[in-house]
Amino acid sequence: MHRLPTGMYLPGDSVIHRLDSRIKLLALFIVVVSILFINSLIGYEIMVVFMAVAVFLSGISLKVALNSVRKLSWFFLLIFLMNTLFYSTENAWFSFWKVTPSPAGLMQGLEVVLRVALALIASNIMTSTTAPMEITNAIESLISPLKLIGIPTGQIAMILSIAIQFIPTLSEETDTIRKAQMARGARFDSTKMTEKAEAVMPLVVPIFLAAFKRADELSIAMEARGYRGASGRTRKKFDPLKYQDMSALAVVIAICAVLLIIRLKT
Amino acid sequence: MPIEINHVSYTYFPGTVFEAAALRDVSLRIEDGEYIGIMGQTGCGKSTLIQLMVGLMVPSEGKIIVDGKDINERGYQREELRKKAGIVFQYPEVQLFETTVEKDVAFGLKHSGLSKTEIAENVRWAIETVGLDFEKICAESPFSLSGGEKRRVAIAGILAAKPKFLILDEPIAGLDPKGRKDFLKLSGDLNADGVTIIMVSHNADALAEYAQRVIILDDGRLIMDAPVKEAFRDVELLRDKGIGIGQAREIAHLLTACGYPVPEDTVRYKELLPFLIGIGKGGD
Amino acid sequence: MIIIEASDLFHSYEYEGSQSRSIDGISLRIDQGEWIAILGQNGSGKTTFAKHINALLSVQEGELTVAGLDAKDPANAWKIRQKCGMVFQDPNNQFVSSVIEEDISFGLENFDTPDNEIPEKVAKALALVGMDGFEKKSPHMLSGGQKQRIAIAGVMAVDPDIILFDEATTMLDPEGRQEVLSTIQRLHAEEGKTIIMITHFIEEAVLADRVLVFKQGLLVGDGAPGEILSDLDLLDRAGLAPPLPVSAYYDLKKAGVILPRCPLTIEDLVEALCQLR
Repeated sequence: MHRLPTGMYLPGDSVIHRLDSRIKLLALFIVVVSILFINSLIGYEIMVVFMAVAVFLSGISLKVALNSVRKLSWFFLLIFLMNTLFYSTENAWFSFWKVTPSPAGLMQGLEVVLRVALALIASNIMTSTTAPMEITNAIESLISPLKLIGIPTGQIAMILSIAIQFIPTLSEETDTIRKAQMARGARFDSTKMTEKAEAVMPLVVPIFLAAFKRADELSIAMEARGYRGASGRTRKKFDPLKYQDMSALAVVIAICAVLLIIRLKT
Repeated sequence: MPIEINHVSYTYFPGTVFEAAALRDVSLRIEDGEYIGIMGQTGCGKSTLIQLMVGLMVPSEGKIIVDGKDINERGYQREELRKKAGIVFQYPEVQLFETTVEKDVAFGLKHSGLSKTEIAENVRWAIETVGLDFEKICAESPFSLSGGEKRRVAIAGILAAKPKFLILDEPIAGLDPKGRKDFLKLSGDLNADGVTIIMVSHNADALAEYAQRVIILDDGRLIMDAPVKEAFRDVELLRDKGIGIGQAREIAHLLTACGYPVPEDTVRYKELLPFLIGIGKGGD
Repeated sequence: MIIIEASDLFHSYEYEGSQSRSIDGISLRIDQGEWIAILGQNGSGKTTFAKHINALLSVQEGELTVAGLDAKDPANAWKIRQKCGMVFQDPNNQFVSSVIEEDISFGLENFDTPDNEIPEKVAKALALVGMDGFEKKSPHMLSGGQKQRIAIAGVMAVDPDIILFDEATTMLDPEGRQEVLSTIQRLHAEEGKTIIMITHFIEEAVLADRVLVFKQGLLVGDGAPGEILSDLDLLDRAGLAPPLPVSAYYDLKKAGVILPRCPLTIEDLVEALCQLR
């Protein structure tokens, strides 16, 4: 609890902070999909520059933006190595059992790592500039057409909202439980596998029970407040879209269209 | 086992926008067998202080010295501290997780190095000490018990290790009068047996009854460390800091204000009563 | 005017194969605007009784009318909840949103308040509990007392006639308790609400108009605070401890000092002693 969680909302007043959250969510979706079909150097260059500009416009420091990437560095290293060593046997530098490091493998490794990193940075920008509740409202708004095919979008939105609301409370409770069990001898920081496995129950059981108890109490409180299930009523939670929102979306679509064209041409 | 808190400070999230100083240069010393009360408004640093004492957190500055050893020094075996110190958090029943009461209470002793017989003995002793019937309850699931019983089982789980010093964080929160009385008496009995008790509480009357010394924190600083009779003398200061002075002291203070001086070190009802009777009978 | 009327109310539940009575025959009447404090040990039936009033529990046996509605009719449950709000013990388990104004509008939406009326009612509710301007803030950043006040605002936004408090101060520090009690006092005095307050702090019962004492599902005491809180026998039977001034009154009596009235608060005690001279 002494380091800020990755991707946490950092209030601010930047260009990106002020954009409509539905636009941001749509833009994120479009950007992530585009990242997946980049396959040329120029494509990656465009995306990297775009991402750098986005980070700058969001007022988030580069360090914070790269946080989630840093946290997964071991994962990236693993993916990179796996690809380099096993992806292809063409022009392999040497061969040892199944291990065949090759230039193709190296490129593939780099590409995968770069794509995931870019996607992570994009999501980071989203979550750092948009309050959780705004994200929930955006999700609710964007999936509301699914109501037509019988999906209970109102209830989904309620669940998301409640889950988000409970995060600080459950997080604190988890910390208390962890400390209480540690104080009475639980070994969470042990290196022995058996001890690590043993240490799971004293943490997981109380947390689950506590979470269920809270959910139960909340459901009673909701009933007491007149809840009868999602009424299907969605209040207007958004101001009308401004020209900044529309232009931002237009820019994102334009860039991704360019990337698509580059892809199709190669 | 004396505990020395040596110029300890603690800051949450240092260097970020959420930085907050929880403790500022706090020093104090607790001797074997003392019963100490810790008071202070929410946010004053009491929770941080007690967690530092049992090594659950590491101070940003300063040292915590238990039995002459710095517990945060490299090489110090935390196990040593865990055997000697016990801590009961608020609403301790949330820590229950085992399938039977006996197993849950024995949990802390798993790595204690005690033999199976010794563990069983300790568990039985702990369960009986908190006022539960061992035979009746040992095989029950902790989750089938009432709220009060659950709390007793949770406390037994910490007593089973027979700690030499016991920290209690608002242990009577949510208990009804009988539960409160039983618990306070338990703390007094343990102290009489030589266990050092450190109790965080808002209840000045309870502390006046059992504690010998009171420590008061305000915004991370130690503002009072005095014998219980002295700690509540300055009513204005305490009120200003939002610290409850207890009903007995309050009555003494109000009577003095309307012309019937009652000594400022009157903190217990039993000490107060003779004065009430005296005033009532028209004497001095 | 009678706002709650219960007649021979019984309630039992099954636990591990056997039946237990949580309410064993309760009859009473509560008038509009009364402030009722309910005392009793854990398990004495207080919460079960309170949950009947806002139809969270259905009437198994007996009669119950709340704000003119028959609580036995399941179709009335939702309407009753509009007239009767409830604030619970754990401040953290009452919120549905991490934005205060959204949480307060939850109740308003549930009772079909038109969209354009909602912001005004939210603002009014916040003002009532002294938390003006907190619309965009997050509940988890507040103190316990503030959280409970937001919960009260959420209930008050719907403008119920009755408010139930189920040990709403138990988990708060002294400052938080005082905040909640002051709020309740205001709701009672200025808004004329009927207050039913379950508490396990006997000093809080002193503030009420009437005190009910529960023991094992039965009502063993019903009267003004002066009457109930000075009845040592009754309190002892119900597993409760009298307020300190009351103990002092009897101790003084034993020593030959007779005060004109049994004091309920420290101020009363001091005044009575000072006036003796």
